[in-house]
Amino acid sequence: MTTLVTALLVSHDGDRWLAAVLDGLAAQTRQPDRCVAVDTASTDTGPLLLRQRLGADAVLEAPATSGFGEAVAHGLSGLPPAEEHEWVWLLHDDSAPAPDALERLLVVAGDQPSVSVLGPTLRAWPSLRRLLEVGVTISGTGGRETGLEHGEHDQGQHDRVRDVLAVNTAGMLVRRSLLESLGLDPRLPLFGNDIDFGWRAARAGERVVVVPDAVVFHVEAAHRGLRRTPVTGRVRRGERAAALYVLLVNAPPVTLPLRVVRLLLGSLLRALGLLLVRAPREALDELSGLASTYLRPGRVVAGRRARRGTAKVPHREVRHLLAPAWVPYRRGLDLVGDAVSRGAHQAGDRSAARRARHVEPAATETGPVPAEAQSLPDDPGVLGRLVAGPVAWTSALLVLAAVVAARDLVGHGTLQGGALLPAPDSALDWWRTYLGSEHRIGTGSSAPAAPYLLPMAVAGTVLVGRAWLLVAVLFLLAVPLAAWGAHRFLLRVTASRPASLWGAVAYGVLPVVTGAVQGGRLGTVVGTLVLPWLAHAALFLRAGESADRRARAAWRTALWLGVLAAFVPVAWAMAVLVGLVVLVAAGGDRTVMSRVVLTPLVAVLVLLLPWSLATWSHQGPAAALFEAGLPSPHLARALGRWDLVLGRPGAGAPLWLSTGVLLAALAALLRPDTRRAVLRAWTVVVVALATTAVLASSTFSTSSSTTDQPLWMGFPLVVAQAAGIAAAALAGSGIRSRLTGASFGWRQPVGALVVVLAVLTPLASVLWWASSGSAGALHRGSGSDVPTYMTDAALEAPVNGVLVLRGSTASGFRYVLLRQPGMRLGDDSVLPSAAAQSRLTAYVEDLAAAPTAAEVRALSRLGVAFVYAPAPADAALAAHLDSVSGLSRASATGRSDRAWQLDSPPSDEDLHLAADRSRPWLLLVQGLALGVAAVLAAPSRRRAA
Amino acid sequence: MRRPSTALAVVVLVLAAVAAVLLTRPAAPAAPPAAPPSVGRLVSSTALACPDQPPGSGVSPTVRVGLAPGLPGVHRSGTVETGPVSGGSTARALSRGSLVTMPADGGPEARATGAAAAGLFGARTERVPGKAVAVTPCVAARARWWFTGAGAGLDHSSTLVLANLDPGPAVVDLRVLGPDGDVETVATTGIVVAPHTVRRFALADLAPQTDDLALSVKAERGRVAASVTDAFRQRATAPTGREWLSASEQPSRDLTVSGLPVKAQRRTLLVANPSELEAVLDVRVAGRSGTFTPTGLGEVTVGPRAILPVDLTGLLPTGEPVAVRVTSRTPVLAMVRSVDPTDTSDAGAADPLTGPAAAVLVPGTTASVQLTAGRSRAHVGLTSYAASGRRVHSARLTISPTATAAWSPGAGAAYVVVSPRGSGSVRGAVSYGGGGGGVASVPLGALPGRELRPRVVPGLR
Repeated sequence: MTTLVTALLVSHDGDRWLAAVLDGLAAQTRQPDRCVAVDTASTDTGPLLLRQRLGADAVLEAPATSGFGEAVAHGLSGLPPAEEHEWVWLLHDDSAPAPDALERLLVVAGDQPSVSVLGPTLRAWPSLRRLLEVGVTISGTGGRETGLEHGEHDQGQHDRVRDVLAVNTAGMLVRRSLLESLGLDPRLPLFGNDIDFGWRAARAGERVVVVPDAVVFHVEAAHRGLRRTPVTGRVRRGERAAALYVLLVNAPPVTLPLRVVRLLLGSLLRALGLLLVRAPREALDELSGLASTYLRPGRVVAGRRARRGTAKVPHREVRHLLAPAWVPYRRGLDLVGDAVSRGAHQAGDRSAARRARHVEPAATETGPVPAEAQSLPDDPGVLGRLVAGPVAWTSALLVLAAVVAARDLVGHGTLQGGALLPAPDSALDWWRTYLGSEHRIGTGSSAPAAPYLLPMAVAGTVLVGRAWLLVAVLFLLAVPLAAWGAHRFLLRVTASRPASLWGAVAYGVLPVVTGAVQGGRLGTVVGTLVLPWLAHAALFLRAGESADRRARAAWRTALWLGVLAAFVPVAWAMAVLVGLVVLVAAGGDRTVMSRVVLTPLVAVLVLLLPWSLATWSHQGPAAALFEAGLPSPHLARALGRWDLVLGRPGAGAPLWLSTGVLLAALAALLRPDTRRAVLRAWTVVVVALATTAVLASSTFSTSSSTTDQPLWMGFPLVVAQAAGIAAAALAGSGIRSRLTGASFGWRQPVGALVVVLAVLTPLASVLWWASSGSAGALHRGSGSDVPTYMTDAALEAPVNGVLVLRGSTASGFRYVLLRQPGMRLGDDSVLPSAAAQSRLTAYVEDLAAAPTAAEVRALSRLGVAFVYAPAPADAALAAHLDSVSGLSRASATGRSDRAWQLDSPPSDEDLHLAADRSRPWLLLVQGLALGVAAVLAAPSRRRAA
Repeated sequence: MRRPSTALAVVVLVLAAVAAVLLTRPAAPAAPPAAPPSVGRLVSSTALACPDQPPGSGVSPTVRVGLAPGLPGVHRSGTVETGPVSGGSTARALSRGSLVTMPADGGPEARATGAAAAGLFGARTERVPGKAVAVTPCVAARARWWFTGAGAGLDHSSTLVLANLDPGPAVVDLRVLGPDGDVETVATTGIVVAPHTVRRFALADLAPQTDDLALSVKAERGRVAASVTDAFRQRATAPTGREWLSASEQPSRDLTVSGLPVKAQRRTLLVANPSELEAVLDVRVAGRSGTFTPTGLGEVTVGPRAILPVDLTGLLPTGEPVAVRVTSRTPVLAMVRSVDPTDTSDAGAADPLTGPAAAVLVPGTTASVQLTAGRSRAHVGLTSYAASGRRVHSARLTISPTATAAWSPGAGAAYVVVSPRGSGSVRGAVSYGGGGGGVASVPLGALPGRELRPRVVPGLR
């Protein structure tokens, strides 16, 4: 039996590799019997080289638009008629065979006569050892599966001849009869035609095997984008379109509908994933590949029809050659694992860099991490650092103090009081309030929920829906959490670990020293926690950082500022002021600075949609000045001058406890070498005090809280204190050597005194906090004093509202119409305005003055089923309500409260229930903006060179 | 270009910080949300209960109701339904200013809606010529009542009359204070007064053998019109004086007992302290020219939950109208019992007049409107009318701060209308003196005029 082998080389602009390919061909230990080359209108020296080496007769010309399959067909057409045992050895102009490649292929072909297609091991061209393919198959999502690890080297591990679905056309040895009868699909000009051919061959009952001993070195020029031809187009798009086409034309008819849907959704998901990792071009390729396949269903139909004629064996017989169903999912997991490990790697790098900085305390500037810092020889490890370091001890001390201070806030019930409403039962309630465009609260409202509900809902969801736990963590662990953030920030701006630690503790106690925790001021507490992270992100906006890092920092700053402004909207105005100062001081860097500074300031307005746009018309413009939490006029007090200077917006620690920080911040201005940085901190102090001066001078009200009241100035004063602490920490870096190194004078004793006072300040504050506790107006109690049967009825059907009346005839009444067991955190932001409730207000006035049956009937039409007067119920009111027909006494919980039930069944015919139709769109815009900001803030996939 | 010196920046920033602190003018904390009720629309419905004596008391009373003229914005006449509480009332058209007699039996009530609701007043008068006079105003139902000076002894007996004018039942708790504290009573809580019924309770059944009592009526549900009729004799052989006790809504830290007869054999100040704290009293007398502390009266202290009689005999000036002012850091109740040879007068604490007040006069007696100014000068308009509505006499009084002034309505007057003018606070009562014997006193209270609408605001929690 004589075996005839025709080598068929397809070439296009491949003169870079062609010589080596021809050399490889010439060096074959079993020379092909014929060599034919097809050149598809190369513009380089390739055709000349081919003619020189193979002879002019052996080189055929084909148009530049010819696909690989058409080129092969053209090559075959120039050959004499096929003989019985004729083989065709397909080669690319970028695939160089090892000298024994053909021989080894033919040995297997001879040993196994049932085999019709054989393929070699493909190894990477430059490295020579790296494996590219040892046979190939396709996954259910269209992934090209080689079964190899990325970068796997050929160490003889794949040494078994085995059946595969397909082999690459580079080095493929195929019976000429099969190649001519099946042909390469002309609809797959470049990519995917090998898998398709193998799949069709398998369906035709032919065997495809890979011969690992035979080696071909492949550049994969088209796949890597090294070669552009009229048929390559965008590589990723072409590959994706080809994969989808191959799956759709070769899939069993039964699974086709499901596969169509699966591939559509999968492609969309992949595109989304690519967007999330900031690969918009790849995402576009994914989508355009999808579109080019799905929008031309005729190609698929024609392809399937063509395959019907060649298929001889059922699908199930080739199924084992396809990739297992779990492969795509394992790949997904691998991707996530890679991302996590990359993140951990980056964090490790940063940690090492930080340690390296602090090995050399004199180094104040950040810079490249020394190589030796990457693997410090005496690194005690994470656990060792935690146990041995002063940071660990300080953290433990603060947590211990937090536990001691929370002694009056443990037990049954929910944290509440002051400006804090009790948390809802679940974080789902926050989601519901935030996403809802119509709120069944009171007489009905379509007000946009306060923006802080979104981060609360997200964080609450992370805590498995435990909303109460989130509130407890925020308030009871505010000090250690704030200190943690401050420590991270101060470590970045100062070179001194002691100064950072001092500043962290001094900052950490601010939530309790200012009285924010005790007053239930959620906005100030969370604002204090977020502020250091915002400042940390903003540090990278400075000139000197790479453009990529500044751009990412701008978006990271936008996200942190968004979180901060969600809880304390005034923070945005303060950020604008600071941004203006930065721009004025930017000098030559102003153009870039404008972009990186304005990006977060403008982006926040979009990130806070729909509140930023819609609250003006619902709660009024002053709503932008109130921070998260209940407006509580009774908690406000007139600020004294020293309250401003020492940061006491409410009933907090004694004033003298903060004098050390004040002195240290002032003394910081005296140190010349750190003065420039200290002045930046002092600029923030001035901005914060100016904000306080402007806002503290007036009273404000919202449309749902109409009592004019001064604003709680907690956050601006925290910012002023924080900037003062930062100034002191900056100047305190290396203060000991500074004081001891200079010649003795007045500076030493004064400096030492200031240092001692400053060091004592946080210590004394922690002691004061631990001894006085975190309780104040904040307490733990049951959510509502309304009888349970009433709230149960309201929960069952919101129309069974409970009208709760507090106060007295002499001092006036406050009412609230409940449709759940009491008001919950966040409900206050969607309360209907006083104007919207004017009708109900008038009815309640009538009830308290001289009620008639008409008012009672009107109440029932507003969805009121019960009237409840908590203890001590006003006697005149009770007498009035007892005397009016239409109301019957109901069970109350104590001797001093009173309850009534309306005789007529309640209805919602007079309720104002109109959903805001624009809300879903605004929420969609916000969601997209958050996604875009998160993607743009994420670390770059490609590291800067 | 030379960069500005950092020292200059330091100075600028520190000065800016100091300026920000100095320029801050912190707004005062918000005013408390509490606010007094505002005067609203005219009342649209008024129901008054005029108590009657227990059957067989041998008293022949007269009950008269009228529509007071002179109320701002109130000119229209209307229809008034009069009759027993239990039903069967008669509607009668009443012209503005007229005073008519209505049946005195069955715990009568007078009910007016619409135009006649404002200015409706009435009183029950009892007179035994030459011996005794008793007067009590017809009152609207409410939830809280206090009566000081009741008794349940051999020479002093009282009866509580409760009327429920509303369609729903009223549930009432009674509390009795004696000289030694709370009096143990039985079955005095959860007393149900059915709709449109009257119930009477002899205090002798509740707290026997106690001469001086204070009585609290607290409607736990609904509201009642409460009155206490009181019979007192100084000794077993003395004639029994009859009187209706004045009611207070709640204890107060500043009381003015007005309407004392200008002459009396004995005067006793009774002070009840329902609180848990001891009350140290400051007792002063508001006379013609101002307030003074009566000589001979030492420090008066009332124990918690107790009632204390204080003998004022001989301590008050005679021949001139006086009021007794009692102040205390603890809210208390007070009344002055004046005894003349044939009758007693129980003068109660008068509330500041928030609008025009009217008092029915008793034919055959001389009446004196006694008014006491508050801390500032008070101006008052007084007009007496005949039963037909004809104006008989009128006057304008200016009363010096804390002083007491008196005015006589003149002969032929059936009732008197007292209208405070200006901003000065004034309280008062009408003191009745029989020509041949008998004294009585009725504190002046504002007529139903405009609704007091409490301030109502939507709350946040």
